[in-house]
Amino acid sequence: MRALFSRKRKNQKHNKKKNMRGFLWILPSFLGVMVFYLLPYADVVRRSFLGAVDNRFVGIENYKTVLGNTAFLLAVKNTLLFTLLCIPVLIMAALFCAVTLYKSKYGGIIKSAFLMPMALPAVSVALVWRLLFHSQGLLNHWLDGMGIAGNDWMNTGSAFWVLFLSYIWKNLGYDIVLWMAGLAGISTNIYEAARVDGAGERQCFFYITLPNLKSSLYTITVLSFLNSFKVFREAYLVAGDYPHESIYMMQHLFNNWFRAFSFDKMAAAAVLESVVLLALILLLQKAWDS
Amino acid sequence: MKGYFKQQRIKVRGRRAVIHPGRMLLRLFLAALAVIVLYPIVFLVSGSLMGNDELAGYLGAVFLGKSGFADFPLLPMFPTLQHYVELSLDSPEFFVMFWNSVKITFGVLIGQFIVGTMAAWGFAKYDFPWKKGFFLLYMILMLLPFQVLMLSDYLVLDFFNLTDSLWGIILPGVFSTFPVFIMYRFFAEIPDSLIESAKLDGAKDWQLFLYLALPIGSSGIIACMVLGFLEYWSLIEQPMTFLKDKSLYPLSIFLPDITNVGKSGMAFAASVVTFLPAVLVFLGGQDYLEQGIMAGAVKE
Amino acid sequence: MKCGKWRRAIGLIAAASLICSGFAGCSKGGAGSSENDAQPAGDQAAGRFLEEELDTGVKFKDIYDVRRQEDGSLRIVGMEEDAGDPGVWESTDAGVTWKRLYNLPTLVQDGAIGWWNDAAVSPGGQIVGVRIEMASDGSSARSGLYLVDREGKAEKMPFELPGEEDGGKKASAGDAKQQESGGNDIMNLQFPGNDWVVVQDRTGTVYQINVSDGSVKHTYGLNSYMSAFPLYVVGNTLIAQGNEQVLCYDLLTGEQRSSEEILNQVYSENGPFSAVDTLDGGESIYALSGDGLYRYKFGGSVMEHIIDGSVNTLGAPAFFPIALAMVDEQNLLVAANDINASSGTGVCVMKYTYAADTPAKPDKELKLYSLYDSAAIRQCISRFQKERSDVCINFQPALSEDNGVTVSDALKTLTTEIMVGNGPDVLILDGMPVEAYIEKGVLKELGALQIEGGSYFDNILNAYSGAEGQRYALPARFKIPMIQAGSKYFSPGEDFNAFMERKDTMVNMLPNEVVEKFWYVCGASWQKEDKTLDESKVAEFLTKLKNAYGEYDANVENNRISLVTTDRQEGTEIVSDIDFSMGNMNLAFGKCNTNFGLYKEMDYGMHKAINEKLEDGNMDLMPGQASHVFVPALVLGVSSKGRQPEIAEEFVKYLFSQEAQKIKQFGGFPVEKESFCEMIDGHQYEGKDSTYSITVGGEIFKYYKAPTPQEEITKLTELVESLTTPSLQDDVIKEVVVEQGEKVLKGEQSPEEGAAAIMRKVNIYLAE
Repeated sequence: MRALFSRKRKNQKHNKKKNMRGFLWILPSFLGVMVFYLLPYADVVRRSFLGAVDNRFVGIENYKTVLGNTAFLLAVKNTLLFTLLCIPVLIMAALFCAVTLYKSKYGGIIKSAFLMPMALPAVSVALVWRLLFHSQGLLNHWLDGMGIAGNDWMNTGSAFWVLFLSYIWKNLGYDIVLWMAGLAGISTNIYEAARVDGAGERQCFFYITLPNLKSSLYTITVLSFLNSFKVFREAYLVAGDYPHESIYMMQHLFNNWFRAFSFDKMAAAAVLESVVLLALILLLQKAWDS
Repeated sequence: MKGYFKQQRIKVRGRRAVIHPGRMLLRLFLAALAVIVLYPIVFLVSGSLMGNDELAGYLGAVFLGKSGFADFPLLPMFPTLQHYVELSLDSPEFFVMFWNSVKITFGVLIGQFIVGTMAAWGFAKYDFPWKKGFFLLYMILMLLPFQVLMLSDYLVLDFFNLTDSLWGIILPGVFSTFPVFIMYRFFAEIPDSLIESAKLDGAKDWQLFLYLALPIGSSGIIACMVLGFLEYWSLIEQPMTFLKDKSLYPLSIFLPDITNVGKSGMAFAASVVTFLPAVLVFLGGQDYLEQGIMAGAVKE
Repeated sequence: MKCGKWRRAIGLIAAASLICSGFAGCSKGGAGSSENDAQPAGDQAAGRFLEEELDTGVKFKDIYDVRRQEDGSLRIVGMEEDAGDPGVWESTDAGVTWKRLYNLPTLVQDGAIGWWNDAAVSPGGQIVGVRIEMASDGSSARSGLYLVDREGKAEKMPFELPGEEDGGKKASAGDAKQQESGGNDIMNLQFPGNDWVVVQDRTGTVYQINVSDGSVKHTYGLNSYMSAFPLYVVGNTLIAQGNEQVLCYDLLTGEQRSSEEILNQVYSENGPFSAVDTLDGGESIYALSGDGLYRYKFGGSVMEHIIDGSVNTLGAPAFFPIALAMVDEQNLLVAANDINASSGTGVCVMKYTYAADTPAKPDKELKLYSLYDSAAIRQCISRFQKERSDVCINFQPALSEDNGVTVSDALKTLTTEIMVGNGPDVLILDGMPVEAYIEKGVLKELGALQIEGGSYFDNILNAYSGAEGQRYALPARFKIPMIQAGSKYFSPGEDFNAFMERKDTMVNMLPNEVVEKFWYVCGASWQKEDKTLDESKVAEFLTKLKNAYGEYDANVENNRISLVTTDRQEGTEIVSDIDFSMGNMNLAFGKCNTNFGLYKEMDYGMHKAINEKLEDGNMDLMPGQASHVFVPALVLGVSSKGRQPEIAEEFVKYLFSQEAQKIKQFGGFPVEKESFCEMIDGHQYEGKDSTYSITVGGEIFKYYKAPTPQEEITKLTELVESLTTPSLQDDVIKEVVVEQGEKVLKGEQSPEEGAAAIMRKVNIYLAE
């Protein structure tokens, strides 16, 4: 990232006079973003200081209410736990697969197989999940066949792991592709030079592959993070508004608040969430810049 | 750019004569894993080929509250295309939905292609005040869950009279900041020297964009379009919130009541039909996906 | 790389072809719908047909036919109440006044029994009637055709339906109620011109009979499923319908004509046509359909939508047209069966007159929102619109069987609409979070609204009233959780604990239904001061219920009698699984030992017969943790952000008027006392005692339909007055309880686990 921006600084010399011309390229997009994203966002910020339906100014009352709301705290806890657990696991697993499959003869086919789930619409995934993880569903049938007692997967703590697997299952292929592309970008000359110097496979991986994949990691993290929001679709379609408490996410809460006209709390929570997102992005950038 | 990769791969293949046994095992393990990963898809396809009676027999435990467990063989006992026929002949609404999905997806993609590439190009190769701030803003907006802006979005759309219209789905999609983020990284990689030499040859800004950026960035753009296709083909929240008229619903929220066993076959068939275009686009665009997304992040 | 290219090419081609096929499929659908869109634009111009219910001065029990005569007058052939034979009435002033001409003669010969069953009148004033005649030993019944001339003299036509025995058996197999008439029957009768009459028998075959000599000119071999729908003759065209299509035949040649696509299309959208007439000798037709009146010129490409049924009675769910008579292009009569007709006999004659100066669409729109469809409310809408021709009520229930929308999605959509100010004016709050809406200020305070026009059960009307008498939501109807059983299983007045101690009270009942039914009578007592639930009560509920329910039998579904409610008139409320009436047969035939559920219609004869069959049978309120519970239904609220607040309140007021309260469509008992009594007194059975028998597995159960004795009416009225506790109206909690409770009863989890799971979910919900 820093590399990109530092190069930009060099460009500045050439483009200084064209300051506004650069912005012109952004303008169409920015106007749309203004209308469809920024304006609504400003409205959300405004609402976070107002009462729900009567629109009276209440100061930071909403923020206080939200921070003391047990449902909110539960949702935050679950969402954080899910993100912190899933993203590292997904990224590591995908890296492992990518390194293993890279340059292999049938790697392409296996990779395509891993990609398939991503194309499956959420509605269909929900259909399969319901049949698989029902207390009388297929998974319990197989377990029963092996003499293991089943579980009511979606209505116990295991719901979290179902969701976890569902996320990995859907996004593994995508992340493998991303890693493979990163691997392909590492020049073979470096490896050859290292091998001439007597480096083994392991050393090559730790001293050449990993450092060179660092900038890919940034993109992959951001994209994986973005996709982690989408598991809500499956969770919602399978378990409805009030799933088992271990998979009660921020979006469930937002949805339920919305339905009950609690726009005050919703807006305050949304602002809090975006502040956290901002902090997270800045943190990520900093980490990669250093 | 593409040629560069190709060359490298061929070289690499030539080198790899000895296969590490451990790695072989790992690959076998992954192949097995791939089969498991594919199971739900096989499941859907085979379910779509089963008759209603067969389905009711297998799935009765889940849907009808019968005792015992659901069962599901890998292949249907009596394969039938009945549900596909039903879907194509007896459900005119299914076609309308398919058509709506096509309109939404391509509407968004065309818009993103125009607006998004321009913005990405601007971010990548020009400088203007507050650029970093703008980009940060774009990133945050990209990561905000839909539910956060749901109500205010609706108010804005209503102001422009766009609710209950496909445009209400398409326009916000067009201005999504995600493609800008993806394509930005790709455009940023185009060597400055190339641009400088083009400029020396007297190329204007728009010519640079049309004849240099677009062709070189084509695989990045295609990658972005493939991702966009997947996203908008299986859109759920927006149409559910913004559309009231059922004749505007896209395919992604078509799900016949599956607890009604008589219709579960339809649900399977509809799933497969929805899945097909997505998977074809995905397979077709897979190579671009690979080259397009990461190329920008790779250092030379 | 090579294989990648291939894959890509195949992928792109396949995707393209898929999309193309999508285009092809759509363009077809698109063309059809654009034509439909064009129609409403047509009547947008100016003018509209206004509706009035005619006071014919005759109490019709049945109407067989109405037809415009060659001289411009109108004739009705129908049956007056308390009359033995049908009569013929004439109107020379387009339906305003009617004069009786003559009655059809009573033709009884040799002590045989016979009666007129159907009749049709020709433009020339002749009548062809169908008589059912039974042999003196009562063994067989056959139908005969009679021609009645303008003076009322009848003469038997020399025509016999062929193959009577065969046809009869085929059609009546499995149809218990029809068994008394074994032979073939005339199902449809048309007398279009003066030369021939057209009849259809049960097998679907149509006979075109020469009036003068009774000879059959042509027969048309239609399928039997087509005999279930009326067929029409206009000019020289025979129109038959059924199985999603409309067939046309030429009466002159007897040949089938090419099918008219547009007719098929309207049929498939709105169901079969219910009455047809013509003004120009059959070149074009006027046809009544589910959504109003259409005009169509044969061979044309557009069916003109002349009257929009959604703004008047034509679109009401319980309105079943019998005959359509076009007086001229601007006046028409429709005779129909309508249980809510003001005549009180279930038959009405509506007149439609074109008013050129009235705007084509009512200028004021009232938006009515409900999660569920309700025939009763549709009926009220159509009545209200009749009185307020300037108001058009827009009612689209959010949930229907085929759209797959969940309650949650529907409420989300509702929220957005209310917030942008585009929401409904009146809300039917059944199934909605009423308390949250009141708290958030969504509903308007209705304290100032004067509800008048009758005396009301105040205990029920004020179910949602606040401490200071603020009223945000008003139930217009209610249901009562009731139980019926023999004394071995239940004694009147016993409490929840005592009832739950008993064994075998719930054999052969489905777990989810048991939990839901008891939820109503128990859930009301669960909420503590701070709105959270009392876990000990939830645990007690599940423990006792499980104890009483016993072991779950997976075959329970097969041990029960599944009721097919075919004898319910179409267009009435959908019967729900938790209704009391659903358990009647299981109790009567001893499949279940008790019957409990939501009681919403009085069926005195049935209960009496069951009580007699049981040992010491009794009926009373369902025992529960809360006592004297009722379930508010058709709960009305006015949006605080609606656009038509005055009309909204007016409509709500109308729904409490006696006229609206008396509409019977099984949506619950009315809160207005007089309407309540009228609904339960069984007056419709007055003087026509009828025995019904139901056979299941060789066992016969007989019951009478008879007026309810006064003491029973008083008893139920007093019971209603004693009700104090509205059930907890919160579907989120209900769903959680039913879901977890079902698992407890099925033995998948212990009552404690169930209670804990309920508490966890409900606490999240309440914490939000």
